[in-house]
Amino acid sequence: MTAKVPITVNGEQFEASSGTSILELLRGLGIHVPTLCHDDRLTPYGGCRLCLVERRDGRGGLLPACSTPVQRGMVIETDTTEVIEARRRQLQLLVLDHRMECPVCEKNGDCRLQDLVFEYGVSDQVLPFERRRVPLDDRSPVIVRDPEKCILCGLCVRLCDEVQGVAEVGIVNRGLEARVATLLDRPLDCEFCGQCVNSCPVGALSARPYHSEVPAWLRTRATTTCSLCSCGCQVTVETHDGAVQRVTSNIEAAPNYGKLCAKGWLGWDALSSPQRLTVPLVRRDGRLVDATWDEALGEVERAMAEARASGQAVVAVGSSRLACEDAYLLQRLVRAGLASPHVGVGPVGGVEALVEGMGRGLGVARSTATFGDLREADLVLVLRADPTRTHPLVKNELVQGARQRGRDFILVHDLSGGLERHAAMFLSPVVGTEDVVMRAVAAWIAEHSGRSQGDLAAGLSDWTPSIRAYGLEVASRLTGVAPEQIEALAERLLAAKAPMAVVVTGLGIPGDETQVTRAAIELLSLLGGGNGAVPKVMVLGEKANVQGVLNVGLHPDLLPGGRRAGDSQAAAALEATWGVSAAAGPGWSPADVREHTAAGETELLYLVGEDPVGSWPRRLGGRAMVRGARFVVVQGGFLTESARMADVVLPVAILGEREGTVVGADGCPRRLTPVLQPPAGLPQDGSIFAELGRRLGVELPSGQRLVDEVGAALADAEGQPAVRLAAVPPPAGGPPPTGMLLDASPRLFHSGLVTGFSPTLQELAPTVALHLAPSDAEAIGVHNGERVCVRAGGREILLRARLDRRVRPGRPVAQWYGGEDAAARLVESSAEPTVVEIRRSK
Amino acid sequence: MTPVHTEPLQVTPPAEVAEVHFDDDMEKRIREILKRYPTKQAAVLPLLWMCQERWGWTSPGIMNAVAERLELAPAFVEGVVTFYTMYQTEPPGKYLLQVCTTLSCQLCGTSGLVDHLKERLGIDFGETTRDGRFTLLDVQCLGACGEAPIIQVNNDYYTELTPEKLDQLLDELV
Repeated sequence: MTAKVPITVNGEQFEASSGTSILELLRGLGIHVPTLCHDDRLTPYGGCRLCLVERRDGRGGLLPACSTPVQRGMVIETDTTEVIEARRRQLQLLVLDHRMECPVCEKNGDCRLQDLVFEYGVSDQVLPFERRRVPLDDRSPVIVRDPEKCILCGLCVRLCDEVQGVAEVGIVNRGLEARVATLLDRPLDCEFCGQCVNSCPVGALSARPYHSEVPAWLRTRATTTCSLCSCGCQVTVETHDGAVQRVTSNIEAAPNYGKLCAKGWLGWDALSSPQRLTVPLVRRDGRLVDATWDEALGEVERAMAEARASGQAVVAVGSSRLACEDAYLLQRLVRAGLASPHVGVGPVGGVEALVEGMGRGLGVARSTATFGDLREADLVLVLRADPTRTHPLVKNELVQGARQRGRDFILVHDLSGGLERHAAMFLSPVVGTEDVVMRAVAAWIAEHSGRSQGDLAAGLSDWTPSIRAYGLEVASRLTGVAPEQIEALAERLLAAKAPMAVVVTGLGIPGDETQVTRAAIELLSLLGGGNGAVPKVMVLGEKANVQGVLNVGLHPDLLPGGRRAGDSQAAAALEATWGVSAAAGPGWSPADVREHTAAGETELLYLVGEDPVGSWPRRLGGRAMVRGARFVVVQGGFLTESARMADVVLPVAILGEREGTVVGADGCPRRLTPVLQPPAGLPQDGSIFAELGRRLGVELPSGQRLVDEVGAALADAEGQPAVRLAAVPPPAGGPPPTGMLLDASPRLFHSGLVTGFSPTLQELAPTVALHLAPSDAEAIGVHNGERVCVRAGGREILLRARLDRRVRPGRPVAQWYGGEDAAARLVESSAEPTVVEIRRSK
Repeated sequence: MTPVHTEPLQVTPPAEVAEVHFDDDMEKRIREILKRYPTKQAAVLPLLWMCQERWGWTSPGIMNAVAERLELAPAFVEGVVTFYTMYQTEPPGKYLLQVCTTLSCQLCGTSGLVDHLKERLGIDFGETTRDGRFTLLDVQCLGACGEAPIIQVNNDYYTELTPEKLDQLLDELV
């Protein structure tokens, strides 16, 4: 507990925790203190001088409340004439160097400077200064900088540095010459997270895609959960007349506290993409043609009824972006209504890590760490990839921990990222051997530290002898990581008080996410020293609701509530709840689904938000599978490649048009609130399942009953985690791959199934770009913007070279999803690295 | 005026400092500097100064190299460089004439010196003579008010100056 000190504010006595600032104390007391440069997420700055308060004891005088800690016996006044006058003078000076064009400024009505000038009644008194003349910087595709409106609060500079870890902008020069600038005034070349734009208290920073002629007071604001990754960020969407005007985030809302990323900020224009489907399509004479909802649903109903009557297989592959309610209805429609156990999701990152990794290693198929744990941990192991590219909020937390609180994190992966500069250690093992590194560290600790998982861990007697095979020499040979580095990592982990691990997943990240997850559990439970503490492991699922769809049973091995399919008690309980018999046994595994379906054994293939043809790695044979099914229904927002091969295509509401529940990577359920009406009154996925159920005479829950059943499933899936060890597979692996390894893990995008249709994101991270380290480009003999041919396994794609200093040599980066020339075309299997040949194309 | 002999600055042309690397000797000095500070960021000023002594000015390439060596963002390093007046972001002439224009020097006649300098050299503050010999800068108090007016040339002080003494000095600086 921190000590309390007495302090007097405006004549009243209070107690304050020592170490807090006067500003924190005053705001806690509900006293209004104006600020323009303060942000709770940043270290105090003391730049705007508006938070001045008067100290009456001791030396007295005016003090900046934000950067002055409380002291015993302080006597503070917050609204004396002197304080008010000082603030007014300060505002006067700010206004002098600010281009006042409020009536035509986009920030009008939403500007903190405007509010304060109004509040303090600043006059238009003329002082003998010339306003600075600095040209507008509109060279970036997204962010427009107007330095003549800048008041030098430094929020953008500090957020970019302390939170985003990029420091693309800084303050150059000093005094009257000071201004915010990029390095040598080059055009912005950053991650376009938008945190600067959203923190700007005035109109100095704005976003081109959100240029709006609708004044702030006419826009409607609503907050929902971003569904473009599994972080669960709360975003506030401002709309007018059914169109998105601006996307921001509330600084007080967990888990992201106002933080944003390029996807969550800019990906919203996918909603109005011209490729958006608005009417159902059915196949007539070999061609997909527009149809009415009744016709389209009638076709699906007939196909489902036939499949049910014939006892032929029905397979549903759903998206892990579906809301829990929708996913629950889908698996129930198939299991109970169509008597088929074959439900599941596509091969997205996180499913295997959760079900096989966490489920087998800890007995619960969920993450055991929250974002709070991530902030508290003194050492975070970041495994498989850099969350900068996949889960930006996690990256923000790691940067803040390192920059602001002296926490450490260690990167263990061999791809390009962005966090290297902030990491305490960066180990780059051979792609896909992160588990070998973790196990070598565990073996070293088990041998040298005297620590053990203790008797509380099941399977210890199997694990202990098997881990000895992971000697330093063997591990070093397989991973390319020097033995000293493995030892150094072990020493650091032994010294940590609250270590945790983050397992990054995603299509295009090579390696085995299950083994890495298991290895992380083993290692952390060893560090826990046998006290039964649950290792904190956060699996960053690729899509928004990977965790939630598993919790409600959209998986061949899981029933709602996390129970294993095939367990007779679980089946009985399920049938009791549903009141009907259901196919509660294990369904086809994803491999079985592909094999059986490609072999023509599937009567009906129902793809919901998945595109096996366009977005699955080649070896998974998405095209053969879709071709092999007798009747294919594709449901989704866009005309994907799979949709082009379907018999019926059903368009749906997407992103912020949806409602329901999603469960984030931290296991926390959050609400999707519709912030927009879908075009043409498109239904949400769940409404289609409900309607099909009604047509087929299958009773499906709705309203409060649906909410209750989903709520119960989510609660049951929590479970009680406990470490379960088993013999580890012997260290294996051939010689490290040589040559250029294609890095097809995301860059601003995930699979691209939704974000690929956002024109703004396409401009920032085009699917046609191959990002090359300058040294690689030189070796290949290719210049920026030239076409390159990328070959692997006898196939080739054509891309445009983009020289990028952030890309590591030998690891060219291409976008996973994006039609004929997508990197997915070259990737045989996400388990192995893809070696490519690159040459200039004529 | 104290008799001193000021060595000309060794100014590396821009093309040669577009990208720089620290040699073994500099690396050794960097390690020595880093020992003095709790964080790498804290060493940014002495590292920049070391580079300026080595290359004669602080080019963008130098800022990048320092940023990389100290794991800082280049934009941050540029902010530091442009905040302090002692880092030269343009290649200066062989002699950097830094005229103190603060109060004590002003009272002792700096403005006359400045006018004289500007006229003789044909340049304004912040500019370099066409022959690349002199760069003229105005600086704040050099801390030697007792011997005002003062000009610092490269690292040397020339005190109690008059236009005549100044002419003599400029003739000697070749």
